[in-house]
Amino acid sequence: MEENSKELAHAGSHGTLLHLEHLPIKSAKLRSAMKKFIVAWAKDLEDRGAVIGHVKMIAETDVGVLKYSVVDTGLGAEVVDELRGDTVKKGTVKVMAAVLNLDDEEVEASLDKELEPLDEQIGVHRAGHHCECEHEH
Amino acid sequence: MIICLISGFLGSGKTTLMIDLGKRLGKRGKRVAIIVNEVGEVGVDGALIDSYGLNSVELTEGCICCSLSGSLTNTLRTVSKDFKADFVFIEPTGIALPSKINNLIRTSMVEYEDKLAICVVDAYRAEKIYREAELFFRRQIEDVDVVALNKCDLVDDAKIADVSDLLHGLNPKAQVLVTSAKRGDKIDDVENMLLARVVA
Repeated sequence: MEENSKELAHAGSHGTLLHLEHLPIKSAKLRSAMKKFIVAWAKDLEDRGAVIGHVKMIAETDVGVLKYSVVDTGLGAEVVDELRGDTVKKGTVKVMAAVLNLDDEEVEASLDKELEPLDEQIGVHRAGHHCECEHEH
Repeated sequence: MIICLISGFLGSGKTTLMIDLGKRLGKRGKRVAIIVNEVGEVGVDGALIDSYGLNSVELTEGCICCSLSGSLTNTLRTVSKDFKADFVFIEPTGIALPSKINNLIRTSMVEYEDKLAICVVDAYRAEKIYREAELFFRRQIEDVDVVALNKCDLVDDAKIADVSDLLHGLNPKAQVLVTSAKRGDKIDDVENMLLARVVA
């Protein structure tokens, strides 16, 4: 039987594309919300028994990219900040995590939980997710 | 064309190292292509690589050492034939096994001058990952030419010595380079290894 490295490593992963609902948004507000989100998601995964591989996100915007990643909650979030403007008028965010000791569904459940406060803070919508709103996704 | 496989566990610093090497080789006028693979449904690193003006192909939703092996060989052929790259970097997922990718490259029918397989190891977390997933960690170290013991800026000399001993034990043939991709420490050495492989 063909060996599957993901199964061999007992790894789980999940990722999704997010649309920013409330644009324009101040770059500082986006930085703050994303950093808070990525740290909270990593912590929740650890609390569920995961050994973190990486938990990361990238915002691709009209004023550049912003990336945060966590590989160990003790080290906090690493950032690559290439945002070159005060205000983001257009953009999407990709988030993903890959960990050991949890399956894909558990990683997704953790993301669902942590997206709620992010949505309350800046307004995000998962691509492909059906909703009643009138936005185009 | 030189193929450089940059493998290593999730979060070890593969992308940071590869972007640095790609930029350096680009400044020397070399054509650089990057094949990046992420295990999840969406790719994060491809967007970052593209933001530095590097040419990347992103393969997602699987691992190129097993479920996406066909995509890897097809992409390698395209990069070789259409892009005419001088250097191709392959960054597999952090749960890929280098020995399997090395085999795929050997049997891909793609012509290349030489190949360098580097495994990036996070010095800060190496012992923890070894404890949690020993078999997997061991297999990631096997069959590579160089182990980049990365994030040396986060640990002291005693930790570097301990992890170096562990790595030498797992792959006595590999050269261990103590690096910090973030600070650029010892990246010159890796770049020179790649340039030395170009047939004059």
